[in-house]
Amino acid sequence: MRVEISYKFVVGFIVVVASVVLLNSLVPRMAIPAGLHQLITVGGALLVGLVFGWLFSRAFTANVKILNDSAERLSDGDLSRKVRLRKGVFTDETEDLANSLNLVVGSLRNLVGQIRGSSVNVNESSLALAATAEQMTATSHEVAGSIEQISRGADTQAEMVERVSKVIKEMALEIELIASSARTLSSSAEETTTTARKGEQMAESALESMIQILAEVELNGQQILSFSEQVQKIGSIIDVITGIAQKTNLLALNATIEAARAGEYGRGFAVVAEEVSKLADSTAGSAGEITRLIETTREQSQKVHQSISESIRTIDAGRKAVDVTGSSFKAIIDKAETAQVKAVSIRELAEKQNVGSQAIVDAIEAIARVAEDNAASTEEVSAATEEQSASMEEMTFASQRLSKLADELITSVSRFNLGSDQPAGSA
Amino acid sequence: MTQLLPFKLGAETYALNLTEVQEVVERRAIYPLPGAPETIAGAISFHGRIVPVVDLPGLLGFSAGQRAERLLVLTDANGPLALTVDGLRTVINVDLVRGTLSRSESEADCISGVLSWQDEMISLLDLNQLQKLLEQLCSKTGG
Repeated sequence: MRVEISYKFVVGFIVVVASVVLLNSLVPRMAIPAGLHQLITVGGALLVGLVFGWLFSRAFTANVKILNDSAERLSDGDLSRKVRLRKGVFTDETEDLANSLNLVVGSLRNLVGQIRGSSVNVNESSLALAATAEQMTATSHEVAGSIEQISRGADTQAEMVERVSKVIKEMALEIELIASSARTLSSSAEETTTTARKGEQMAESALESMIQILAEVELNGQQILSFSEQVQKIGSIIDVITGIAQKTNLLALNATIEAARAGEYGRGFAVVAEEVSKLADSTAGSAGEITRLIETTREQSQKVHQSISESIRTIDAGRKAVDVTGSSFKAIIDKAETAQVKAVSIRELAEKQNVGSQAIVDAIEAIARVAEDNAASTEEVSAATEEQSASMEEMTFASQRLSKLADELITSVSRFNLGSDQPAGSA
Repeated sequence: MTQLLPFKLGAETYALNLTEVQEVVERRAIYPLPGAPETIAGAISFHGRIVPVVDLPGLLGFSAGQRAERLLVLTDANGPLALTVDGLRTVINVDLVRGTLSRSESEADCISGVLSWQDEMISLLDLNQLQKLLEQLCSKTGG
């Protein structure tokens, strides 16, 4: 039953007044001296008043003390316990105050729990943020390193491209040289073909001449043979003449013998016989001379015949050699024509290569421009990365500060003792 | 002046007086004579007569060489006889009286004298001694 304090005072007053009245009526009835009536009445009234006052004040004071203690705990941050008053028969405003305090405690508990949970979250998040920022810083450093490498690579690339361009230009010059060499080669092959054709014609005419010479030499050989036969005939005639000369000589000798036998009469005859003998000797000498000449002629004609046979063989070999020469010239013509065709195709290819190398030069120049642009871009990227890196470091500091602030907040909040029955907001 | 007909026997040069020679003929078929000595080469037909042929080099001890293509047929006073020789020379005219002529003292070599003619020694064949030699040979063999 709720009774307000003021009512309690009123009730107490009434009870005191009632007790005074009651005592006033009761005391006379009792065997108590009259002089004491007043005293007892006052004393009874005081007693009643004291009892009531004690009763009421005791409960009130206790409750106020509890409230006071609770408020003090609250101020100390102890939110673990609710305010509990002693259960009295008559509740009063202290109960309301206790309820209000409990509401305050509950609200604070919730608030502190939420703050604690949030600050823990903030702390964790800020730590994660710091870690992430550090990672990002590291990453951006790496990126910066990579960008630097890219930049260096771009420089190297530009250098390489320049060198390649130089090489390609040299190559283009060499290709031009090849083309001119191929032109020279082509004209040389043409000249070779012409010369070889002339050579072939000459070889053919030489072959014809050889064949003619061979025929003539063979004819010569036959003529020599018939000449030899004629000489042989002369030889047999000479043999006859020689025989006649010997017979004449014999006759002259016998005539000389006859003349000698005739003595003085045969003298003239002997002279004639001697002359005849001399003539026969002379004839025989001449015939011998002719025979020797014939022998010499025979030997020489034999030699001539041998040398003609030799010549025929040599000419035949020469004819074969010339034949081989002719076919060699034909092969040379074939080869030279092939060489000419190849030289022409080499020339065409070299010209194409020249065009291609010019295109390569153009492309290389474009690449060089792109590489320069790349180098500039990478420098820009490098600067941006450095800025980003700085921002990241700032962010790291900021998140670290945030973490510190959250820590401080947790420390601040931690003096609130929420007890075991923390609200779910801290989770 | 005397006319001599020189001829070769081996390396030696012999000669006959031209008046002792009937005729010089070409070598012809020589028919061997049975029972005759080796130095009688055979016989030839000479103008329808049979004339024995003497191998003069063989007879005078010269080695058998190339015989000449001529045969010397001697006059009837010295024959009838034909001689083979190794080679005939042309007739020479010599002065036997003024020429260096020395009588041979040996009678077995059939040389009547030696004469020097143009730096050459020519032996004169002694036909009488030759005949004697032939007779001795023929009587030995009983021909």
